[in-house]
Amino acid sequence: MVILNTNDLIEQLHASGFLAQKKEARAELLCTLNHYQLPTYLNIIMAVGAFLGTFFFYHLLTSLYILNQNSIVHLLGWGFGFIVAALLIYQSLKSAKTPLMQSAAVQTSLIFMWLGKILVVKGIAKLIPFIQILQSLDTDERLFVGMAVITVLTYFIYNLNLDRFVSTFLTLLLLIYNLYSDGNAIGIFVLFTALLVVTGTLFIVDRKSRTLDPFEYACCFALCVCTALVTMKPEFQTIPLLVYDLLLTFAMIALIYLILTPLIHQRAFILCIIGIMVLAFFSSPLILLSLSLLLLGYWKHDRLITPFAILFFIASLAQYFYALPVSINQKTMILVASGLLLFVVSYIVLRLDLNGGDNA
Amino acid sequence: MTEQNDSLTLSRLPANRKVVDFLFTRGFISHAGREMALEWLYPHDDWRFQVSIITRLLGSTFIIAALIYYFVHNWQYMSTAYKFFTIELALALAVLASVFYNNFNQKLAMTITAILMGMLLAFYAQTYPTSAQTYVYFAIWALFISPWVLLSQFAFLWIGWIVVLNFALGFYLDQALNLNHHWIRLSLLILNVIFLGLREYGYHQGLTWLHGTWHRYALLIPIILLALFPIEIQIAKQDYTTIALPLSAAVAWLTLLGLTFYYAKQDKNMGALSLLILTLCFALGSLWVRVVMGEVQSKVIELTLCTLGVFCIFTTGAYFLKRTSYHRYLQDELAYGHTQHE
Repeated sequence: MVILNTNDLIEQLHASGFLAQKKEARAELLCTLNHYQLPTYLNIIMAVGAFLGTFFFYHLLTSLYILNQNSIVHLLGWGFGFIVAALLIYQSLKSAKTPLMQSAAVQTSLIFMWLGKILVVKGIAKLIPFIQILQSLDTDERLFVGMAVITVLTYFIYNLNLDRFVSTFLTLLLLIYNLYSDGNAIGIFVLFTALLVVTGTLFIVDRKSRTLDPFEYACCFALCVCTALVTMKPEFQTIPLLVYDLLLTFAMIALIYLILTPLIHQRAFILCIIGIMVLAFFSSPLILLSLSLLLLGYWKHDRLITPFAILFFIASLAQYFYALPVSINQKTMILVASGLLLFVVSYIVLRLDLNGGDNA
Repeated sequence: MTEQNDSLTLSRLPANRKVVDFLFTRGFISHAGREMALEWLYPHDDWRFQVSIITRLLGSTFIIAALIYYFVHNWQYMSTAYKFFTIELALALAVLASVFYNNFNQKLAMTITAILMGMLLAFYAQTYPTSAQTYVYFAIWALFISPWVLLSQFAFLWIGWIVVLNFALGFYLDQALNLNHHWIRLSLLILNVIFLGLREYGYHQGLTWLHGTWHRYALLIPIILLALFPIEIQIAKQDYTTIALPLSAAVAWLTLLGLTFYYAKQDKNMGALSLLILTLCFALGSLWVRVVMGEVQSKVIELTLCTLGVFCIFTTGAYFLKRTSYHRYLQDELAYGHTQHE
């Protein structure tokens, strides 16, 4: 079966009896996807262009002396002005006739949006000392509050997934940075748990608004950053790593249950659970998380998570063996044993018949 | 809009997860329909096969890393005979495995053999130091494993062999000919472009072991980096005192433009093309900023021109990609239509 494009897919679904309202589906797809969806490669080039454009435009504004960086009114006024302009330009995409005009409109809109957000975040950071309950916040925490506020305000009205992802991810990174610089191990643990729950829930629920996709990916990548921080920095291990291992083990068991229960024999499922629990005691949170992401990528047919999970898994293994507190000769033995174990896993993965029930 | 027109426009949109999720969220297809569509687009068997290959590659890497760890740590406590016996035994086992296994395991055994050959040469060089320079060892290593590489039909081993060749050539130009780093970079750029050209030729000749894309990027990314360095250095330094830097920069520009033309017109590979367009946009942007900063006195005009220039360059890049993608889908559909007709 060769499915080259959306039209082929619709025809195939219709022919297989999965799609009854072919005409209506086509009409809705044409109205929605044509205007708003950008492929990943265009997102990347747009992001780099917008980043450089925003950099020069910001310096142009400051050199023109029309923007007073010490005035809250100036910063918020110009900031929201640029954000409104970005929204209006983005709306004009609908009427742009040529691909060149569309590209120019997206690029301009993105530059205005990012510039607007920078100014608003600075404005909010300057405004916070005048708000009594937030007076105790330091500069980095004020920037986080500003970023969180502007991300929430624009997330649902600016329909560009690139901006949604970048803003959400930056907000979460700022939060992690604040917790890191304060040495707040409890805060990191709470954030880790929250991200694990939110990411898991969002990936499990199928029937949800696609608007939440960038949020889902931002949470997933932030979870990886958070886990790496906990694993590599002993000062954040006030709550023992075993607790993180246990949380990730529960997440993995839940995933395995959701993926495999309808497909394989009960005995294989129990064996999987025992295997994961043994792994939890011997490995690190990074390895468990990367394995969970591999499972998630497999289950959701996700072409972004799967390659990322493979790279993350390799990096996690390297970190695990590097940090292992044993002699080099013992490390050698562990490496050989792990290598042989991986050969066994490879053999099982190839032989495992997920649809055949008893064969597993 | 008629049904036929709808089909023509939808045939320009790639079928992917977003489309399937859209149909599912709007209630056009059931959960079973969604799963079936995703299975057509991203088959589970592919995933299992890839995971199996990755785990075997990782397993082999671990065992080889363990060997290296073991030797480096215990080097001073081992007798020469023990060192050579162990490594030669491992080598003999790997050779036997590559003779008796077939398919992927055979290729893996051949790769391990090639790596062990390098280790053997390194041990030899450590045990019996000579006046030979580093490039000689890399050249001998590349020469000794070349029969395996030619027989293997395994892209991973080919890429490894190309890496060894790059080291041999780089060290040769540096140690034997005393050339400066601009000439070395230029030579490595040309070497890798030749291999990329051979890879694309083999791919279009239908060599099954060249299916997949990772080896394209394994060659293309170093080419892009080797090309970007002289371009950026030339833009920053404007050095015309020797011919090496301007010539490498000129060859680098030509390489980037040539590859862009190839992937846009002949191959229509969007991943490779995007990387090249991004690199060209970056290089052109740097050139523009350098020219503006050198010629314009007023800071306001300078920043205005920089903003406009960067905006125009990246917008044109995005437009070019969009246009190529549009033509690619039309071409794919025509090709698919012909196949169906036949």
